[in-house]
Amino acid sequence: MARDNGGKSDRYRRELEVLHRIAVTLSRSLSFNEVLALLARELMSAVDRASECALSLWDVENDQLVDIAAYTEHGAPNWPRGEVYAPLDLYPETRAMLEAGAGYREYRITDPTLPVEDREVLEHWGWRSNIELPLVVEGHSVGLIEVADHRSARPWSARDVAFCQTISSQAALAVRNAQLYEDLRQQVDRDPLTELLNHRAFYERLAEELARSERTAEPVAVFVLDLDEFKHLNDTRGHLAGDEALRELATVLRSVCRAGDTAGRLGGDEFGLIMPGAAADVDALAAELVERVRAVTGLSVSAGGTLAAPAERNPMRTVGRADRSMLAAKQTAKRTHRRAA
Amino acid sequence: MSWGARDRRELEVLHRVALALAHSLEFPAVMDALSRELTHAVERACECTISTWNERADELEVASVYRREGGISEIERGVAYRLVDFPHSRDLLRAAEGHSELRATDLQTTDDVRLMLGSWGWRSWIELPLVVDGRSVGLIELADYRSARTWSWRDRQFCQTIAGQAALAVRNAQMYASLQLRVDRDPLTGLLDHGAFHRQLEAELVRAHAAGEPLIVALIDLDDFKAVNDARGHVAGDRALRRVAEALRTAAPDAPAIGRLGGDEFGLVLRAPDDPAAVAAGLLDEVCSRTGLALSIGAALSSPYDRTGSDVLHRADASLIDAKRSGKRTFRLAV
Repeated sequence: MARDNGGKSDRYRRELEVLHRIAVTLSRSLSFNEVLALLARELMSAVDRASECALSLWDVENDQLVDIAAYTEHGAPNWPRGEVYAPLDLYPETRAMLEAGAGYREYRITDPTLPVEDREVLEHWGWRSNIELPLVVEGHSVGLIEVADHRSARPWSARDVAFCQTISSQAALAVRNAQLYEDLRQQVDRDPLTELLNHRAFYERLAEELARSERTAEPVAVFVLDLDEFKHLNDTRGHLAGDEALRELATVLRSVCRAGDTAGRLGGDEFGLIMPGAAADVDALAAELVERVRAVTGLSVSAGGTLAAPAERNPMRTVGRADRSMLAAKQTAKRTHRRAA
Repeated sequence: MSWGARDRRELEVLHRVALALAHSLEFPAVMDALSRELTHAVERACECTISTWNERADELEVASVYRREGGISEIERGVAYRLVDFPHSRDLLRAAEGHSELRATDLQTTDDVRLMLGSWGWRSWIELPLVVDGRSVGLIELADYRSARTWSWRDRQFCQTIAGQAALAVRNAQMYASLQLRVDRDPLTGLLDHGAFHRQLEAELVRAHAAGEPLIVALIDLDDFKAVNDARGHVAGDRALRRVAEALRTAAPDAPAIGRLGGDEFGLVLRAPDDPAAVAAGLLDEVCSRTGLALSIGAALSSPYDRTGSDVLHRADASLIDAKRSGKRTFRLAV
């Protein structure tokens, strides 16, 4: 009897410690992805029999789940996240659970009634059993939590399930805070017309990239683009046509961005592009940009580029140089045009 | 069993505090949660005050007060204390560690402090810095109305643990607040953006009607801004815009709204001018001389017949066009 009480008390204490640790850990970050990565890790280590925890976000519009974070007993897996999609029409019961924003489901490989789609999931990941529950933030499911056991297909205890539920409802606070923060950050950093970074955010990002390049000795190329005759376009065809041109240009810039590149609207009809690691001939790249914009949108732009000097700290300087190189290109173009005419 | 009832209670409290502090990202709400949780966490605490440290002004400003009897106190919120009068608190804030303790019965306690404690009804008082990322952001004070006995090591330690844990939530709230400050702001100049300026103008107009006092609404436009941009590049242009913004802020520190309305156009709302023409002329002079740039001002006085901000803005716009036509560095006022 005494031993039993001691056992219960120990377990209570351990669970409380875990819950407390998770509450503190998750408040370390306001980045949505980071909070979810922390949650996956904490859940994996909090639940004794868990050998993996996977989190996915519910993409309601496309009726699918998108993998966002995972953690296994060997650490974070190295396969890419955000690229694995599970269409929910294959898993209607999971969808119903997400819609309800409550409950949990259990899958065991030894269960003879296990539907074939679910069996495939277990086999694909090498899970013997798993439970899934919705990640509910302020009454709405935002994603799915899966906690899996690689070794055993025995039923999950009510206590394990309840513990996962407590952790996920507690984590909802941190997830919501990260969402609020990132939404606000989006509002503050984005140019509302083109949804590119705005002036301030662009310069902040460039300052970060310059600091990074100082550490890694990797070059950073910076480009400035400007619509030719934008004022004329605005005056003759109206502001709506002008806005449309700006949006088209923004779309092209987004399409040339590789991962890690950044496009921004610096104001009016001026745009900027940060390309870390692009060491090639910047003038040639600038000319390519001009051609690309012309080919896709039919708009005529001028572009200038520069490589950040080693140990350059002031982003204004870098942009200033790219600016001058763009103005020079504009002058040359005008002269050429005049000569041609 | 090594796990005592007190350990268990403390862990429960720490967990509860962590959740309570995660309930909001708003700075005042986080402060309220912290003062409340601290009061209930430390058994002998009757009251907890948290204030933020304004190092430049050498002041503490009360962010939240919670009393075991009565809960959150709204009256004291925002009250500022000069640290000249509390040098030991200033030392703690600078050190960003440790604690200090005052007790009514302590022989070392000076008569002044004894009087002060007496007037507040405090028998003893402990304070510690609220430290975020190694820097003090504020001060936590706990008061005991009943007993002047020494604060135990364990009580102090527990307060410090809670404060340390709270640092994360406080930092998050600070980050959120600094983002909130940027919303509605023109990112280049830090002035109100177009939408926020219009909203502010509407609110001022309502107030002006109620008070029976007119407003001046001024539109300010740089002469030859395009030439600056084209000849010297966008970076030089941006610098010019920032100089104008700074000059406007200095010239009209009490203006209820200063905004950048787009491109090189700025807007300004001023209250109840005695001599509106002199105000506009003075504004033009000061901003031109501070920036070394030429600009034009079109101003209009609000009337009780203005139904929306746009009405008065239209008149200001007409004045601006008029001013531009009649040369550079001029102003026109529509009354």
